[in-house]
Amino acid sequence: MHAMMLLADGTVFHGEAIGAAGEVYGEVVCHTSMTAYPEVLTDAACKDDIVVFTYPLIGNIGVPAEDGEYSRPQVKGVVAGEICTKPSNWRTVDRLEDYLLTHGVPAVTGIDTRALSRHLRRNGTMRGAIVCGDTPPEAVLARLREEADDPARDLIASVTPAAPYVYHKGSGRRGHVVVVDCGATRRVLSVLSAGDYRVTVVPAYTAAEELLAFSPDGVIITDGPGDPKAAAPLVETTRRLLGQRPLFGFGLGQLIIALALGADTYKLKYGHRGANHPVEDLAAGRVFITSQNHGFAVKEGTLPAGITVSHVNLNDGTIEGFFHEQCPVFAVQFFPEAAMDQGAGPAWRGDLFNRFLAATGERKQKRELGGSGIVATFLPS
Amino acid sequence: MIYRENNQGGKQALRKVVVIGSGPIIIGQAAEFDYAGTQACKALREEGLEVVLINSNPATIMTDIEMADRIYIEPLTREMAAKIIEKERPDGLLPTLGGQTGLNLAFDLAKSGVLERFGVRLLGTPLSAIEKAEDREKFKQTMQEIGEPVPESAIVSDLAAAEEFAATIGYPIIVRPAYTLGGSGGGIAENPSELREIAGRGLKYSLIKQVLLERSVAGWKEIEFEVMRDAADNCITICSMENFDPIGIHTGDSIVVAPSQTLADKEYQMLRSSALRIIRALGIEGGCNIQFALDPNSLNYYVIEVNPRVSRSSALASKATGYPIARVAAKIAAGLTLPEIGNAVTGKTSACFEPVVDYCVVKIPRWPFDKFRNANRLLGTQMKATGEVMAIDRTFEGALQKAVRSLEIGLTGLTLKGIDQWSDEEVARRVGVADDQRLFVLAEALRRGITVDEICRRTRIDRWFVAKIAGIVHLEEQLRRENIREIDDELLRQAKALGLSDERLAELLSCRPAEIYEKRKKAAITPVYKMVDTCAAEFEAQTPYYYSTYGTEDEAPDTGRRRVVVLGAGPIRIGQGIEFDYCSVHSVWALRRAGVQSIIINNNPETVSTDFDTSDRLYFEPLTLEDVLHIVAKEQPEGVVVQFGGQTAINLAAPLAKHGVKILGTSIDAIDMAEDRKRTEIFLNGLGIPQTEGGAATSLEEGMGIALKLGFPLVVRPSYVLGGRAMEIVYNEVELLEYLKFAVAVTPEHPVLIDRYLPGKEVEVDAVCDGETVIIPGIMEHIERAGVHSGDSYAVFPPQGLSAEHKNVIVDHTVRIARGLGVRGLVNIQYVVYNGRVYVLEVNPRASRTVPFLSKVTGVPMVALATQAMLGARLADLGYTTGLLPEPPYVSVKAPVFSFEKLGAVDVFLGPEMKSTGEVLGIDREYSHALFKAIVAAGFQIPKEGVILATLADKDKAEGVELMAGFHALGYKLMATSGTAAALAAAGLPVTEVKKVTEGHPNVLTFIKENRVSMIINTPTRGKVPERNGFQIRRAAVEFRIPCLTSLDTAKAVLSVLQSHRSGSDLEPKTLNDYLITYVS
Repeated sequence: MHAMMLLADGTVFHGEAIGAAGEVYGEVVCHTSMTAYPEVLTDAACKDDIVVFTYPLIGNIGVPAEDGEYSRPQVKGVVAGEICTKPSNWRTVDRLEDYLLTHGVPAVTGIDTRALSRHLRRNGTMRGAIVCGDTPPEAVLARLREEADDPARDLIASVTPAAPYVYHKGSGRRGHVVVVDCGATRRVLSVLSAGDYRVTVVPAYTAAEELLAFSPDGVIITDGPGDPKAAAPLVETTRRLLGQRPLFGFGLGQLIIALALGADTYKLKYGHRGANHPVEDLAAGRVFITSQNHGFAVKEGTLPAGITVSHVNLNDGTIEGFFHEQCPVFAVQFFPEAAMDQGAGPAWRGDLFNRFLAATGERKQKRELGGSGIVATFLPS
Repeated sequence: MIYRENNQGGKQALRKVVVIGSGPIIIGQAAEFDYAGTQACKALREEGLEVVLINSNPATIMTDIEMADRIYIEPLTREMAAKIIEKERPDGLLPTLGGQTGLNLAFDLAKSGVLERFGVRLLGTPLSAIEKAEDREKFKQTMQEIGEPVPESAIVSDLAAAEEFAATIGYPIIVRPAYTLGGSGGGIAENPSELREIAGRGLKYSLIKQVLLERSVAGWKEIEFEVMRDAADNCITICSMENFDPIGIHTGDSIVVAPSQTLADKEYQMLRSSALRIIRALGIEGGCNIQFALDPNSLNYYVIEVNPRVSRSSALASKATGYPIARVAAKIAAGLTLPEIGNAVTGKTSACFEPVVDYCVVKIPRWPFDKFRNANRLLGTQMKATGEVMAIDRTFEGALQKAVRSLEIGLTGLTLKGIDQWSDEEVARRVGVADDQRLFVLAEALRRGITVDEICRRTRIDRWFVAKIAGIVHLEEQLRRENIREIDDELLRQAKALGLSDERLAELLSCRPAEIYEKRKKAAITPVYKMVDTCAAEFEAQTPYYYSTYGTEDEAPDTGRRRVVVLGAGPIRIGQGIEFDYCSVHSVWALRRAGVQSIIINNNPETVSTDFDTSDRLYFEPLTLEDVLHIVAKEQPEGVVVQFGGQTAINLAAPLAKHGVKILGTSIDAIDMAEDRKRTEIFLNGLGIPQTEGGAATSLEEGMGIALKLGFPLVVRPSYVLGGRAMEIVYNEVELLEYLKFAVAVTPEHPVLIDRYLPGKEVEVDAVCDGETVIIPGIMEHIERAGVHSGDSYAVFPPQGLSAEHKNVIVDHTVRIARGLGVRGLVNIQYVVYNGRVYVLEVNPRASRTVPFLSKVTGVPMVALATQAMLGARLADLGYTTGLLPEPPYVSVKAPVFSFEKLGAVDVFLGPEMKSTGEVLGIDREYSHALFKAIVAAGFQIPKEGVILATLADKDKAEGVELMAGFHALGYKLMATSGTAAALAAAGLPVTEVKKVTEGHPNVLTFIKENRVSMIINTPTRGKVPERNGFQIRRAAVEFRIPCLTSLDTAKAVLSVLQSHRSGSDLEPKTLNDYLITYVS
């Protein structure tokens, strides 16, 4: 069946429908990873996006067992050069097209995705639609134009868990970590569970009091979808936790912490979506390659005094990590676990995530020794 | 100025750096090191360093006068390198860009204390890291320390230990010799007798007399990573590559795809992390290649091998991603860190990132089996390919079929000629045979109904690949039911997107290719061109590096400038080597200097011509009429240059012209006149220039008629081929008949040229002409008489045994032929001087193999002048006059280099069919010095004493006896089989007679195998009669690395060198510039 990929600026690409038939609207984003399509499709950071894969051969391994944290895709639609119909891998359980069909996700193939990504790079990320069948494009374009002015939508609510739960009981020897789940926990959770922490996961909109009632020794704000400014209650909660508990944010979590500190965030023209982003650790003077999947960044120069920018993106100079000079507040824009994989060698011990964990453990010790448990007095401006 | 930490922790200035090249092209070490070395020299000079280059290969760009500050074209021996270091006093030496040859030499210089003595630091990857990667035991230990799995293995130095290890782990076992090139001497042993054979050979080849025995993981996926690290410990992976063929076939002989196609992210990340841990643990500073075996059914993997240097794979990865690995590795060696190095592709970001691609790359090796019909075609752990092609597309199928077209093996797609005649049993049997034709056998098997499952089970090739081939076969079957008039545009578009050529479509639709082309043009089914930019369009890129695909957007803008297309030479093969890449590159540079936008089309990933900054625009495409026409249609160039891409480009001249494309330089008619035997004869007769008598036969009868007229022996060859493919000398009617009937199948479309064989002195001339002025930079004299292919001969310039009178005749003939043909550009003419008369052997209206050699030693920019002549410049205006340039006061000798040890069962005797893979140059003020240097550089180990074994054909006995007397006078002992021994004894020479192979034991082979012979002189009895005795002697010589000469002329040259030098210690290195100054001024 014929299908179209339409962009809000009126650009139309023609291809073949695959997966579920239908008509979907969403932010059109390009992802450059060559192997991680199952992970990207199920990443909550891509909630409601139409994902364009720049690598033309998608679905070569089908959908493997256990990959992806969610059993279902988070994306609205998929755009690819080719979706493999005869996948091959020992862990394959499904063909990608069947998987998309099962979950009602339309896809369009036979698209010159390089032309599409070049268009978006030049003109900026925009909304678009996948339309299967022979719908006239005019109506679709009209709807895209109308939606273009919509204020930022809060996407977190649809991907955060409904209620708190204990992820890992463990010995809790090194402390209790509460994870504010904005949708994309990634493998941070499994890293924690391997390290003698007690881990509780809470919904994104848990109020500060409620959250503190879990007696955490450290709080993590995870990655998630959309514009951080659309998550005002979470920013407020975070503001109240600053100085109260060691804090770590990654992806969307970094943007939330930045807003809580009074800094500003902005939408990137094209976004960072891929597994190849070089990030410089300014203190160590070293660069490592990170995996990223986001469309917003902390605005340079808006972080208040007392905050040190610790990491920058080598490609465009955007802020990739910072910490508070007085109290244990740490944030990175990339997926910290990808950096941990490469973390062989002593130079990585200064890594922010590890510093957060150290602060968490320290607080636990102090608490056991009868201290107040408050790590520093800190009042945001 | 670059400062670099020294061992004491302080900073030390780096001013002058030695770069070691890889020497001659051999199997396992081809043009990729010219590419790497050229990039490295440029990168180092950009940093203000003075570069001293040592390389014996004159056919390279890297040895060009402008590539380095001081260029030594000298033998790559420790003695010579030490002399150069003593003379130059460099601060550093860069060992990792000259392949295994460069690395071994650097290792030798370090171990023998030369570097320390002269205060030279090794730059880049430290010696300890090289040792950890190259020494099997240290490597295994390092891997165990960091928890990386390696297959159970043992290093043994003798056969008993090998058998003991096998007894503990069982078969199959892989045998790999340590410190060799391209896996020489390795193999998989399935049982004890195979183990004894393979391990025995491996011990012989290993420079350190060690072989590695290892549990075979044959059948697992073979995955490679290219990784880089700097001294600050920043690490990146450049590219993953997946071998189509599972473990068991050398990666140089495997079809390879990039990026990996069948790995889940989890598997990919697992191996990537492992690669990063390994490069850190080894402490490499620069690039390295890591090979993994991955179980297709679990997450188990083994680390198979690490190459701590740039390699063939890194060249492929560079071309596949656009990331210049050698350039960055050189900068790292100079002390820069990855973030400090600019990204030359985007011009904005740094070199510290991981490339992503948005296309699929397929590499296919080019094997020499078309020339060596007797060679063992089976592929295993010993590499046999001489070159490779690469293709890029947005579908795997498209890239695969483009690569097949690029191979120039006469195929239009996945169908082998005549394979439809094979029996089902034969097809089924061949599925299980891993040879160079298997890709095509798989396609045929699928056509015959063998299932994808069955093929996967028997070949252990991943289902993804087999299913893709099945998809192509299925589409072809569908197309067979269509016809050209009614075929649906959409189906045609799909066929093009999956890489079906117009020629293939014409076969399937039973029409002419031109009809397909017309139909497509009407339906606007034409390719667009996309950029290779390292970043999947995430950043604006500067590189003018393009590939075709059937997409919607074309990215190559019209520059509005004057532009010219230069056709490259495709894959390196015997007869068409790196020389033509040299010529293509120089032509492109000349165009640039003339203010013309230069556009190159080529498909060889190993070369300088396909480097992203060589031309103004690079199209990485097959060199077929269709693919070239597409580019011409898009670019609308002023013209196309066909003279520099060997026979590949020349063969496209007439078809392109027929499509209205302007061919620059010598006219199509003149090209035809030179290549058509009949027309050449008429032309030369008209000029009164004698030619070896002969004719072109289009049928058996005609052939026998010509033979009757001329008499035997005769030289026979098919017309329009380079490198003397299938050229032979026949001595009687039976041989001629067999040749015409079976060997080349003579037809009116494929005539066979038959010439009288004149065993005289062969002489060769390259000239530049603009139609009027004819510049002859020099005449080259061959040491071997006619009958040995010019590419396999030693060539001497200026000639040492040619009379002034003959030189004058040759100059006169050359000038008249060039003018007569109206040559605009280059022409190569081969002559034979026989019985005092000069005959023309052949006229080649294009650049020849000797152009780089002659350009270098004369300083005449031959290709640049030829290019200017093509653009319409007058050579007279450039200050040149007609005639032979004065001879320089030094002598240059070009020596051929062979790769016989890689190709079992190939006869090594020299004849009219070319067999060498590369060449070296010896240059000195004295002829004997130059000859000695050339012989040493060619790797010929001249024995200082010992036994010389002679087995001579009857026709050579008289001449041979005189020669042997010379060796005897120098103190060598003589050994010979009966006939030769009798002749030697009759001349009063003391000789030990040994039995022939057929005469029982111990025989001549016994002495060879027991290392009791230092050199062999064997002349084949005649042309091609299977001659067991001689063949076995020659093969044994190759297997046991004993120098073997099959031409008395070469033997005489060796003798003359021995008479004047015994050790070579009196040879002095000198830069090319030092020689040229004495000539030009």
